[in-house]
Parts: sequence; structure tokens; C-alpha cells
Amino acid sequence: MPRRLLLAACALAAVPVFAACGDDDDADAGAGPGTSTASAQTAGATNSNDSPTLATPASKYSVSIDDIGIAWLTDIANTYIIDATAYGKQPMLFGNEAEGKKLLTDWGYLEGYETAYIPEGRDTAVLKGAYYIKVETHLFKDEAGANKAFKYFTDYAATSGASPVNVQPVGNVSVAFATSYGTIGSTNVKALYHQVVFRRGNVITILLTKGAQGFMTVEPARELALIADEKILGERPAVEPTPTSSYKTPTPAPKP
Amino acid sequence: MNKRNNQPLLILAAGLVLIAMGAVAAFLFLGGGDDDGGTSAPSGALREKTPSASTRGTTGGPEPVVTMTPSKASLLLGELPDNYEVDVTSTFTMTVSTFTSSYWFRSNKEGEEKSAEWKIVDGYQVYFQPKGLAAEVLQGSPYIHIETYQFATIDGAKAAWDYFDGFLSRTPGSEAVEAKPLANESSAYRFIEGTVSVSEDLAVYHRFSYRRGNIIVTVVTWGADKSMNIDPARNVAATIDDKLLGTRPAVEPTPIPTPSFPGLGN
Repeated sequence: MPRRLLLAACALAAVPVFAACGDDDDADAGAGPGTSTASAQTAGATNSNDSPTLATPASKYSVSIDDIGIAWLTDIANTYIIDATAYGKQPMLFGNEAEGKKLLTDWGYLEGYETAYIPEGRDTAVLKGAYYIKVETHLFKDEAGANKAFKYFTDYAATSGASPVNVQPVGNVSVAFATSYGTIGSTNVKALYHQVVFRRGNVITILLTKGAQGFMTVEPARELALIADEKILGERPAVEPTPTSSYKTPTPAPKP
Repeated sequence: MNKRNNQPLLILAAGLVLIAMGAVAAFLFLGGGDDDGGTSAPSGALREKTPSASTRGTTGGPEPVVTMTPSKASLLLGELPDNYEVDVTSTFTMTVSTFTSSYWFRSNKEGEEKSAEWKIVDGYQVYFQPKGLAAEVLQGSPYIHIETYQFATIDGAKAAWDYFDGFLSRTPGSEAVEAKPLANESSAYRFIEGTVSVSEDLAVYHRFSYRRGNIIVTVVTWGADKSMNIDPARNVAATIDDKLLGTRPAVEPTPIPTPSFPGLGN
């Protein structure tokens, strides 16, 4: 499956995509259950049990290009706001539209935002240690709804074939997975996907990295998760990104 | 009575013989000799974690004045596994100016003087890389870099060899490693530096060089220390030496197309 298509497939059903991704024999799965709680946090984790209830827009709590530096390009085609109607139509995640709508209503789904970043140099850079990034942010009416959604996501992932990975906790509750699927470009190097899913208050954030076997661990995904968590906690400026869909090339006004 | 008097001397002599035998055995087993298929090296050369097992090629042998071009003697892409490609930008026929400005010399002036003294007539360098780049290096496929130099005379090549080997042996961090000698003169070094890209695996350069008549060949590999020793470099070197000796077909590599620049008239 082409990289773009795979990432697109991941876009609205981040956890379940690993069900389709198949074998995980080369993933760096840990022995643990892959679920951590804030109370078990250790060095490197945001040390807070706060559980805020945040308002839209969800994009404010995503990871921005300014957060990750100059080595990435925004994948504009995969950057958009997610509404409940579109999200409920994801067959891999919900089975059918009716079920999706029912669950999202039950969870109090408010809004989501997805963005992705391409390493400068693309696959060539990935073969030297860089990686692709995808971030999903989902807002719910309250913590209880978000918690139900988090459990649904993680239960689904647990049966999908993705391997749980031990990771230092992020947010109120977090899980991490890894899987191997396909290769990087036309090489023999296997592609590794790592995913950290965490809930903080009424927000669920999903961080996905794709890199080359030999270089990748779950840590880059976790570091991105920490950035998002800091924004949710108000420890880092949370700025709504400029909508990419309305971007227009500036043109000078015609002279009379 | 005499027999009894001689008994201590006999025991002492037997003990000395046993000690001597033990010393010989220890010398052989601990690597003081050429006991592993012909591998040897200058005294003090390092035996790597995975000792060299490459024994291919001809040690010593003819000392010809080779007339084939260095590019023809060098390695072809087809002689490497399928997962390799040519790093085109670093592959070219060397001229005196590229040679004199190379890393072998402290200055261009020194390079010019040595080139004239050694009467270098031709050179070729080629870089091969695994298609999976550094990620594939971590899986055991090293980068390979080969330089082939041709001199007008054997004496010129000998002088260049002395200079090259001195340069390598004096390079800080460069360590001589055990490897079976090849051709008329040869050397084997390694240099551990940094990591493979952003991984935590140590990176290592290995260099196997030799002189065959008026030709000097140096083969450098760059790989992950955990999976490398001198053998990949030595095996490539032996393949090229077979071409120089005429025991392996030597084919001129397909020229890399000259880039065209639309709008500039070509």
C-alpha cells in the first residue's frame, strides 16, 4: 500500500488501522500490558493529575509545526478538522455508520483535528533516521465520555494485531502500540509504526510515527505526546493553527 | 647410584620441555601465529571481535605493470548484492587535480608535488551504498568506497604506498587489524567513530589497501560495529586483485550519463 494511502487510512481510525496493518513480528513490543496511569509517572512525564475540560477548537491542542522544528513539512492534504458525522462513517473503527453515530453521540463527541508532518527529504531522510508524524486530537463533552472512547479505542487496538509497548505514562491514562508493515520506499528496510494514545481530561490525543527499522522506538511518539499534553495543561502556548484550506497566495491588487 | 643422582636433572629437563610446549601452544591458540587460515598482520595488529576469515586472493605473486584503466579494474555494481546502488555524485574518474586535492594530502601543493614524484597516470573512485541507506547499514550492509590509482612505474607505486600506509597508520584513532595479506603489499585498518546516523549503534570504517605492481587499491567500508569486520573490504579488494592478475574478467563500467542542462545549449 502506498505510504500516502496508508497514512490516509490511519487518519480517521488511528488505532484500528493496525488491525489492517497485519504482522507485528518486528515491532519492539514490550512485555507489559501497554497501559499506564498518571499515578505511575516517572521521570520525563508531565507530572500532573489534572483533568481539565477544554473547549473547541481541538486544533489548539495538537502538535504544530513550530513545536517540532524545521526538519518537517506540513502534510496539508492530511490536515483538517474532524466532525462527528465524518468520523462516524469510519467502517474500520465503527463497523457501520449507525453504530458510529450512536457511539459518538453517547461519548459526547465535540470535534477533532488531524494533521501530519513529512520529514524534509521524505523516504531518503527516513532511511537516515527521520520519521513521518501524524497527530489526531479529539474533544469530548466531558471526561466520562472521553474515557469511554479511550476504552473503546484501546479495546479495539488490543484485538487488532498491534503490539502493546511499555511507555512512560502521558496524560491521565495512556497506551502505546507498535507494528511493522511494509517497507520504506522500494528498499528492503521494514517500516515501523509507533503510536501513543492518551487521554487528559476530555481530550484524546493520538500520535503516530512511521520510521525505519533500526532507528525507531516509541520515544519520538511519546515526546510528541508530551508536547500535546503540555498544551492541554496550559504549560505551553496553545495556538489555533492557520486553516490550511483557506490559504490563498497573496496577489497584489490590480492598479486602476 | 648415578641414575638416582641424575633423576632431579631429568625431572627439571622434563619440566622445562613441558613449559616450552605450553608456551608454544599458548602462542598458537592466542593468536600469535598464522593459525586461522593464513590471517596475519603487523605485530600489534588488533584481532577483531569477529576475527577475519577472508582468505581469498593471491598473497604475493606477480608484480606487473598493469595497463588496464583503473575504472576497468574496479568493482562493478553487478558484483555486489541486489540491494546496492551507485552513489553517482561521488563516483568519477580522477584527474590529477582531484587527486592532489584529496584527503591524502595536507595541501594542494603537497598533492601536486607527490603526484609528480610518483608519476600518477590515472585514478578512479566509486561509491556504493545500500538502497536502504543508513537503515540498511544497521542490518549489516555497509557503504563501500573504492579508490584505484595507477602509476607509471612500480617504483612510483611503491613510493606512494609507503606514503599512503604511513598516512593511515599515523591517523589518530586508526587501528591496524588482523587480515591475511594480499598482493605485493597490503594493510588493514579500522576506525571507530560516532554512530550510524541517529541510532545508538557505533559506526566503524574498515580499510583494506594493497599494491599490485603499479596499482594501488584502497577499499573502505562503513558499517555498524556490531556487524562488521575487515572481511567485506578485503573480499572486495581480492576481487579487484583477481582482475589485475587477469584471473577475473575486467569490464569497463557503464559511464554515468553527463547531466544535461536544458536551455544551456546541450
